[in-house]
Amino acid sequence: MSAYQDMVYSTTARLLGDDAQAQDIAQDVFLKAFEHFEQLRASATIGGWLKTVATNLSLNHLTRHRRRWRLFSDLQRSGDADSDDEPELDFAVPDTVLDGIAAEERHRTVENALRRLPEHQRVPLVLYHFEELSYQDIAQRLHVSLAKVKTDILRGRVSLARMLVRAAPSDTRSEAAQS
Amino acid sequence: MTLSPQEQARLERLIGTACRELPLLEAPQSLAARVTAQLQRRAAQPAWRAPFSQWSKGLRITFLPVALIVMGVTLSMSAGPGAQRLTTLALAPLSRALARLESTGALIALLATLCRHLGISLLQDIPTFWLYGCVAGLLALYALLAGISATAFRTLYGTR
Repeated sequence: MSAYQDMVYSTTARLLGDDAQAQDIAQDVFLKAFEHFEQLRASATIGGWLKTVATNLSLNHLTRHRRRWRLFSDLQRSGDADSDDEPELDFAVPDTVLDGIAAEERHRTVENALRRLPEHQRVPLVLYHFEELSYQDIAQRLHVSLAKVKTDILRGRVSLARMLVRAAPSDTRSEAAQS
Repeated sequence: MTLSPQEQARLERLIGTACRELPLLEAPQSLAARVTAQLQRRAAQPAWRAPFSQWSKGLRITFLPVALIVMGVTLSMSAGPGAQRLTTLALAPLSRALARLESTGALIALLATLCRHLGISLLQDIPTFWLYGCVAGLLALYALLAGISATAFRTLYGTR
């Protein structure tokens, strides 16, 4: 378990954006693994199996949560200025923005930024960049249109880029402002 | 500035790089302990409380014929000569309960009549305007509750 717990926890934490929920789901993943212990013991793909189960259980959890709060989510969505229009970037992101930030700081910034993204942007973004699913697969998994997946991921990227530029040293920021 | 396809591709590369280089998050130390505790709790439970899929193979194989035999015996007894005696035995507590229910039902009917008379006299005495006011008040309270719940949701879960 110790060999895989960080991988499972990272998957659930990034998808759910909440430590307590991520721990609960990671626990369920390992309990499921113990239920299938005989099959998995000899399997060479145990890491892949755990990652798939972690992803599926996290998505199921989010779906249940969304159903429970559907009325209020709908109220909130109608209040948001969240149209399907393409997002706008009111600044340029220099290619060197990542180089300007120390590695540890950069990791912390990206992790924090991911957690701050709204669920409908974070989940497809994580599935695309971390789980390496295609846009089409993500749309099928989340039961939304392909266009919405693309827009949400793009919005998520724009938000992340904005936070990275903010975390960058001032000379990189001024470069972004000038260009 | 709306993003051109080239800008979008550049942004995808940039965020892809930032995400790929992220190290795995360190799982809390309590995770392993929680899993172990949960497994011990499960192990302490009697076998029959576990889901059928987790029963041992022998138990699963034994269970099905035993269940079929029990069903067969029950059905044959209910159709055979012992059926009437069984029915009497089984229905005795039911008829006692029904008798008790009848007396309880009479008491409930009496209470309902009293409430109805009380309700009718109250309705006749209360001005209609007050009744409409009460209904409007209840609707307003319901709307307020929905508003408070929506605000609580937006505050607590809005950013998730």
